[in-house]
Amino acid sequence: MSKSNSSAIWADAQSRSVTERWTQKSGRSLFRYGIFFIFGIFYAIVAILRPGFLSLGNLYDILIETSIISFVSFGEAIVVAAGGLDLSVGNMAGAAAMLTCHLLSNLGVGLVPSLLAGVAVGCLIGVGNGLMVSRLHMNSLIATLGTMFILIGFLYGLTGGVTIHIVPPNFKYLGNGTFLSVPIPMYISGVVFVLAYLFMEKTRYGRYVRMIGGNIEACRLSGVDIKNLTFMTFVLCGFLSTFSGILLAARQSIGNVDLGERFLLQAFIAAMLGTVIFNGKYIIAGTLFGAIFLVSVINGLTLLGAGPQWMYFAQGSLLLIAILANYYSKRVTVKSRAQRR
Amino acid sequence: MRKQAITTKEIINNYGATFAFIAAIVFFSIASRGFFSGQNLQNILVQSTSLGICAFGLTFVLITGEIDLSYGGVIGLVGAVLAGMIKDGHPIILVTLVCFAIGLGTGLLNAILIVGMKLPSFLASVAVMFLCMGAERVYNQGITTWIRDPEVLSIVQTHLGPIPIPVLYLFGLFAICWFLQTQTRAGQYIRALGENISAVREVGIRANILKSLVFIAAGLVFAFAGYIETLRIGGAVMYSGKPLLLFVLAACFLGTATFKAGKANFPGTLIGAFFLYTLLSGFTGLGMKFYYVPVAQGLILIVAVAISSIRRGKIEQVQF
Repeated sequence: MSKSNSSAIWADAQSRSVTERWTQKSGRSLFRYGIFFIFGIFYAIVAILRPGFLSLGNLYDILIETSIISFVSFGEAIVVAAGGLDLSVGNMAGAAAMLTCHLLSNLGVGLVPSLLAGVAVGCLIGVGNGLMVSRLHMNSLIATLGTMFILIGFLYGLTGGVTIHIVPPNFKYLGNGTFLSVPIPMYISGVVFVLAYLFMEKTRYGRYVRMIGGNIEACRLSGVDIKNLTFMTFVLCGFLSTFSGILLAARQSIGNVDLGERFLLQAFIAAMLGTVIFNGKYIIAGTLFGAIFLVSVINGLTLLGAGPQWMYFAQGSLLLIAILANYYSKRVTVKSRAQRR
Repeated sequence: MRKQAITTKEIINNYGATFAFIAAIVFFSIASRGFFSGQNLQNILVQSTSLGICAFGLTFVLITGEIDLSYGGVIGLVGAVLAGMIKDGHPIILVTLVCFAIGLGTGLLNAILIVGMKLPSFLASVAVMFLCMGAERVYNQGITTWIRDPEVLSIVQTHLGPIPIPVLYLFGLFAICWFLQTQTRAGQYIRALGENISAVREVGIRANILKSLVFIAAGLVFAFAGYIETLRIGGAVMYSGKPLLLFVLAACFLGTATFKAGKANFPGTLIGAFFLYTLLSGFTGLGMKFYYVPVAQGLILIVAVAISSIRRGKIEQVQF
C-alpha cells in the first residue's frame, strides 16, 4: 500500500514537473524568439503600409548601414561580454575617421598609411582604456568617460573643428564602391563578423571573456588571466570602432567632428539586443541581428513618415525592450535551472 | 580604540583632488591676471549652479550603489515645458508645479523600472533619458523658446545683496542634502543601501521603498536643475541636458576622489563641480582654445579617479 501511495506521489510529481518544465521551456523560447516575432510584426506592418520597404534598393541601404555600425557594435559587445562598458566608442570612431581624412586631404598622405594611422589611433586609445581598467582598476564607466573628454578635444584640435569635404576617390570607393554588385563595407563586415564569431565561440579566449562577464570570482579562482583578457577586450573594441568611423567617413565623403557621435547609442542598443537574441549565446551573431533590427526599425519609421523627433523615442524604447527581455530571459533560465537540480 | 597613523599616501588617496583643486586655483591666480577677481569667481559659482544641483541628485543615487543618467533628458524636457508654458501665458506657479511633476514622474518611472522591475539602473535610466529627449523634441518641435518675462527671470537672475540668487540655491540645496545624508538616520540607511543591501533588509528597513524614494528625490532635483538652468540662460535650447550629461557624471566622479576615496559624497561633488568650471574659466583666461579644455578636464578626472582606485586591487565590473 505504501508502495502504491509513494508511486502515486511520484507520478504526480513527475507530471507536475513535466508541465512546469514545459511552461518554462515555452517561456524561454518566447524570450529567445519573441524578439523575432516583435520585429516580424513590425516589418509586416511597414511592408503593408509602405511597399517600398521591401524593395531591393531599400534593403540594400539597410544592409550597408548595418555593416557600417556592425564593427562598433561587435566591439561594444565584446567589452560588455566581459562585464565592462566603453563610452568612448563613438569618439574613437570619430577620431580614426578624422585622422584618416586629415592625413588624406590636408596632408596628402597615401591611402594605406592614412588608413593604418586611423586604425592605429583607435588601438592606442583602446590600449589606454584597457590599461586604466585592468591595471589601475578604474571603473570602466569613469575611465572611458575621461577618454571621451580627451578625444573631444583631440577631434576639434586636429582641424580646429573644420569639416573636411574633399577626399580622394579611392577613399570614397571604400564606402560607396561595389565589387560583384555587393558594396565593399559588406565584405569587410562579413569578414570581421566571421573572425569575431570564431574568436568568441571557438577559441579559449572568447570563452574566458564570457566567463569573466558571467562570474569574475569563479574566473579568479580557476586561474583565468582576468587582467590581460579585460585589457584585450578594450583594445579589440578600439580596433573595431575605427572601422565604423573610417567607413562612415568614406561613405559620406565627409569628415566632420561629430561623425561618430551616434555610434555610442547604436552600438549599445545592438550589443544589448545581442545579449538577448539567442538567449545570451552567440553574442556576436546576436549583435549582428541587433544591428539589423535597429537600422531597419529606424528605416521603417522614417518610411512611415515619422520625423526625427520620434527617433529618440524609438531608440529609447528599443533599449528598454532589449534590457527587459535580457533580464526576464535570464530569470527564466535561472529558475528552470534551479528546478532541474 | 586604536588610533591609526595617517600616512601621506592615505592623504593623497583621500584628498588628492582637493589638493589639485587648490593647486589649480593658485596656478590660475598667478598665471592669469583676471582670474582671482570677485567678478570672475562669482561667474564660476553661477555657471556651476545647474551642474552642481543636478550632480547632487546623481550623488544621492550613486550613494545607494546605482546610477541614474535620466537627467540628460529631464533637464531638457523641463526646460522646454517651462519656456513653452510661460510663452502660452500660464501663471508661473502652475508652470513650476508642472515642472516638478515632470521630475516626480520620471523619478517614479526610474523607480518602477529599476527597483520594481529590477532592471540594471545604467541602461534603464539611459532609456528614460532618450524617452525624455523624444518627448522634449515632440513638445517644442525643435525650436528654441526664449523667456522674455522679466518677472519670471527674476526668480534666478537677481542678486540678494552681493550674492547672486542661483548660488544661494546651490548652497541651500547642498546644505539640505548634506544634512540629510550625514545627520539623519535615513541618510545613513541610504549609505547602507549601497554598502550592503541585505544587511539593511535584515535590520527591518524596507530597502525597496527607500531606494524608490531616492530615485524619486533625484528626479525632483533634476527637474530643479532644469528649472534653474533654463531661467539662468533665459530660454530653452534643444536638448539642453545633453552637454551637462558628461559634466555631471565627471563632477560626481571627481567628488569620489575628493573626500572619501571611491565613495560618492556631497562635499566632493560640490568641489568637483567647481573644479570643472574653474578649469574652464582658467584655461580660457589663459587663451587656450575652448576645445582643449575637455582634454584637461578628462585628464584630471582620470588621474584623480585612478589615484583613488588603484589600490582597490581588482577589476571593477559594470553590472548589467
